[in-house]
Amino acid sequence: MQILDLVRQSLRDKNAEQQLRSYFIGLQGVLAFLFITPFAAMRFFNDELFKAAIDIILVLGMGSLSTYTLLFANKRHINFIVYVFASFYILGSIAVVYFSDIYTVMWTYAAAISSYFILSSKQAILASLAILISCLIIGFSRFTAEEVFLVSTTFVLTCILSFILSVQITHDRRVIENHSFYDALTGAKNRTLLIRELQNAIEEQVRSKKNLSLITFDIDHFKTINDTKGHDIGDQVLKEIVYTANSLLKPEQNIYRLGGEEFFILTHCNDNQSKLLAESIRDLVEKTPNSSDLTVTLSLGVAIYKQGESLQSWTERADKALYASKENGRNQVTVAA
Amino acid sequence: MLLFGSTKENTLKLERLLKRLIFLRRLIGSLYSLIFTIFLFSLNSLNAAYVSILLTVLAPSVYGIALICKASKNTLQHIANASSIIFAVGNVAIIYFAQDINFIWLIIYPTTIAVYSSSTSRYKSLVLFFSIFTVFLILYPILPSYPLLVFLMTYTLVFTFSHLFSMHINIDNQTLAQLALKDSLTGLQNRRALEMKMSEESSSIEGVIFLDIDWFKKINDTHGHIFGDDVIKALGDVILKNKALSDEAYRYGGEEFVLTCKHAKSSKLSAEQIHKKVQEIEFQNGCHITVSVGVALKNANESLTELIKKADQAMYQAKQTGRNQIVFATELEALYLNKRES
Repeated sequence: MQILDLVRQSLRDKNAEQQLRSYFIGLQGVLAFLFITPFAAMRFFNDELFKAAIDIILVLGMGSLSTYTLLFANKRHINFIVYVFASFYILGSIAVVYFSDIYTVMWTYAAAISSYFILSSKQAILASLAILISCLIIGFSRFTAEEVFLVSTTFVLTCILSFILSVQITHDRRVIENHSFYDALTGAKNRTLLIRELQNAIEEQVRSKKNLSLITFDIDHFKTINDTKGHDIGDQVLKEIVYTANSLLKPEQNIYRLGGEEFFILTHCNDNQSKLLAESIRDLVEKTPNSSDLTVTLSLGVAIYKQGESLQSWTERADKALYASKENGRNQVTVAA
Repeated sequence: MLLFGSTKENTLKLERLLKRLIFLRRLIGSLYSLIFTIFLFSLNSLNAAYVSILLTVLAPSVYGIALICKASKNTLQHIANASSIIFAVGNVAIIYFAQDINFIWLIIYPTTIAVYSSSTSRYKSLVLFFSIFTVFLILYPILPSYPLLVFLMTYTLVFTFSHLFSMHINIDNQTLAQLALKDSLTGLQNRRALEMKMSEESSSIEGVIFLDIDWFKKINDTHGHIFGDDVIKALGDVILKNKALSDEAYRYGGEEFVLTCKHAKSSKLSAEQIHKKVQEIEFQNGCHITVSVGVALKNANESLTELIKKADQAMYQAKQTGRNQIVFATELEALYLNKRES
């Protein structure tokens, strides 16, 4: 039970992709032990001591590495361990083809597929190419032409299909992770990410003393649009506004949607620049023709971060500025005091 | 910011790559069979070559016809499942017909992973198990025991890894499907999930509860949007904790929630319970909230869409007549419920 706790502990401080990798490394250690040890024993009793020694080195190396990964390894170690593991696969494949009889070429298939579980897709392609080329060079004198053809085509097909599967898994994992940070409708970042990044920005501001400003905006009479034109048109309007506003932002400036029709933009501009940016967003949204022929306007509030201010009071000031814009007749920008 | 800044673009790039790869996969399968046909002809294994021709032509032509006929996504998937099984059986047949070619059994490795990568069928492992068993029976008389052992062991490894691959993809697909129907703020189901349910023809829903937070705009304006979101989150929690087990909760829009109930009686109980508990929530700044609730019960042959509309109107009624109350869609229904209770 204590061991399980250790495993859980070491898995907890890794991200999803690294967790998956350490889990696979652990599994492959077990499989290596189960599948290679019998052959080591067999070779030992057949008096093929050298080959038995290679087998034992493979088993011990992979076994101890996977144990270490599961129990102790942290984030930084794991990237290194992955490379060591992959080199075991390559060297092991070369060794079996070089030292053993011709049939052992079958081991390379297992080694190649295994590498797709622990390396990134591109690295795994390189590893399997290395295995293929070295095995062909070594085995060329012992294989007939048909055999070379069979080995290379089946091996390449196996690798391509594994590559596609591993790209698919990486893709799905990323999408799942993104889902918790991005708004599905507009593609803007969501509230979870807003709070996290505002906190990070404040922490960094304490050190760097850079300008930090928050622009918040809200669509005027959005409820009326939703009620009279239906939610589909409302959704369309939201999407188009994010698209329009995004066209004015630099790559490092992001839009956050808090649900509903409220948005935030975090920038490193000073008060003048932020006001100009806010004005240009307001102007562009007003002038951009809308797919549903509605005039959509925005009310905006700008709040510059004051030294030592809390997150709460900062966002509240931005909100109040937005509220003031609404009070004064909408479709305008107010800078918070 | 840097940590997450590039993730989205990377994902888009990956998505494009994946689409191309999946297209490539179909191409590669046929190309591989074609090359193999030529190889088998050159070695004079005619029977095996015929099978290989069949594999080259069959899958793409069936798939092409299906595409031309504009078959549904489901049909295409069934075709892919069937053709992957045919691919497995065909490759076993090739091994059988071309026994005299050394190392011919190697084609079973890519076959395994091909079946796993294109089939979503639950029975693919079973099919592969039987095909590998057949291959073993074919190889048993021709191979010495040592290579046979190596073959079995390495094949087991390849099989295990392919299985793991497909298992992970299945799990991820399920998670993705669930995420698409979930509201990220409250963890309830979202509007899309409700719309899917509305499009189902027969529903066992007996009642609908429609909730709306009172004065939410004002809360947002005075306490800020972040607090407004906290309110919605807290309400989501209360709904989850106080609804009947058979009820399903959805976040309908900004501050609107919908519950669908399987039993007419539970809809009244849930509505009352939630209405009561919402008033007991205490926020850090001492703020309290109330909700207006509309309840509609099913009359004969009413659809879920109509029920939701009725509940919405009842909620509107509750707003008009003073907020912080429950209104039933018709007085008759309220009477009916009281009678059943007594």
